Amino acid sequence: MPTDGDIYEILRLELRRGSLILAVLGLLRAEHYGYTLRKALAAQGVDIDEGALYPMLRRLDSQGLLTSVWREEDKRNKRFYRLSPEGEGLLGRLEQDWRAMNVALDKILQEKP
Amino acid sequence: MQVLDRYLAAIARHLPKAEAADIVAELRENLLSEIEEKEAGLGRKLNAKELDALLTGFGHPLAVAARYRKARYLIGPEIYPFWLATLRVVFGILVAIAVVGLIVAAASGELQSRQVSDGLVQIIPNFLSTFAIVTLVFAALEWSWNGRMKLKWSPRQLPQPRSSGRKPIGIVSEMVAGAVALLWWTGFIQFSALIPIPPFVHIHLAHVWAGIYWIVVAYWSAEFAINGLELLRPRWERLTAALAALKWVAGCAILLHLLQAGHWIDVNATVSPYALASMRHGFDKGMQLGILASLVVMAAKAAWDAWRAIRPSSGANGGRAGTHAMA
Repeated sequence: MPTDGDIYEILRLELRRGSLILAVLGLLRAEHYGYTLRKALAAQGVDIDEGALYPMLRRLDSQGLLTSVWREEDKRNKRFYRLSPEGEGLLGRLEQDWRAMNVALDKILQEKP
Repeated sequence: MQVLDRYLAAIARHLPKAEAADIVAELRENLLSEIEEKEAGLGRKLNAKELDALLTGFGHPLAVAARYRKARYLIGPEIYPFWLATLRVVFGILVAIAVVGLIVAAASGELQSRQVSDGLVQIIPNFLSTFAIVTLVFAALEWSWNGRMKLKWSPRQLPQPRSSGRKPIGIVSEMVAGAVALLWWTGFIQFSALIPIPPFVHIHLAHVWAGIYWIVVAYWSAEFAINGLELLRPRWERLTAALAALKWVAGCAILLHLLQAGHWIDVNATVSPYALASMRHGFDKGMQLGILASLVVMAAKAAWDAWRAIRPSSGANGGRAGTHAMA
């Protein structure tokens, strides 16, 4: 039998799942490699498990939403990601959806019975 | 960084070959960046324990590698309910075949208790092979449709909602059990070979049972008919519950009549008179306890079914059942 805490955690994860992609795409308007992206997300208050973030980057890359390049930095090769033109277009549309959803949710949650 | 190499090699073993080197190189850089930052914060190298903790926190190699693979199911979430429903139907058919086989064998007088236990053991491989075949067929469907299953269906083809709490399988099981009991009572089938008693002991029903022969025939026939009605007309819940309550009350009356007899089983055996008396007492005592227990159960069922027949409708289902009963 799941406890209240378990149910909260499951619902919280479901709520975050879709929004994390939006956060990742948004931050990749500037170039990052995996670790610095995770730190940048954390600095903005979006904690994401690295085990989820790194595969997500490769998936978004394979979908053409990101471009990636191996480049040397601090004497080590790192794979840098950035939003592709297709990714920018898609992010714009997702952002509109997100804002519309936010407005609707704000309205619903502020309504008193 | 020997531990890091071992960790990354373990991940690589479970990655698609074409991408393994690239993924591992990227993971290495990300992990090294994290390690370096922690070391800069501490002002020293990470010790073995701290490095182990960092890698453990990153995840088990199998779990990490799995996140880079496309999720594949043997039976996916869309096809799963159809797989489960098919298994239920197929297993139901297997059980029905086994039961019919046992009844036929019992009716022909060839069934021994040993054969029953052997049959139960033999049915297990049948269940397992059936499970494997059904699962393989559905796995092939999952693979070929790639999780996108489109079934043609119409809401009008769906069965009528059941207002009763009893499931059809429960009603059918009770009908089968009742039919077998009736066939045994009327002498069409014999179970004497199945009763685990020594061959020198002979048991028969006492005279009291002969007096209620037709009453018992009527009782089990009525039970069969009421169950059939409940199965065919699930929305006639109040009527079937009222009939069932009457049937249980009749059952209680039969049992009360039987209880008064005080002797229910005739026992003959080639043993000493003392042992025979003890045996007779044991059989009758067991029968008395059985009748008393059945009486309690039947009384409880009578009360429950009477309540089902008269209780006020509640909820959406109850309201509809009440409004449209007999429709």
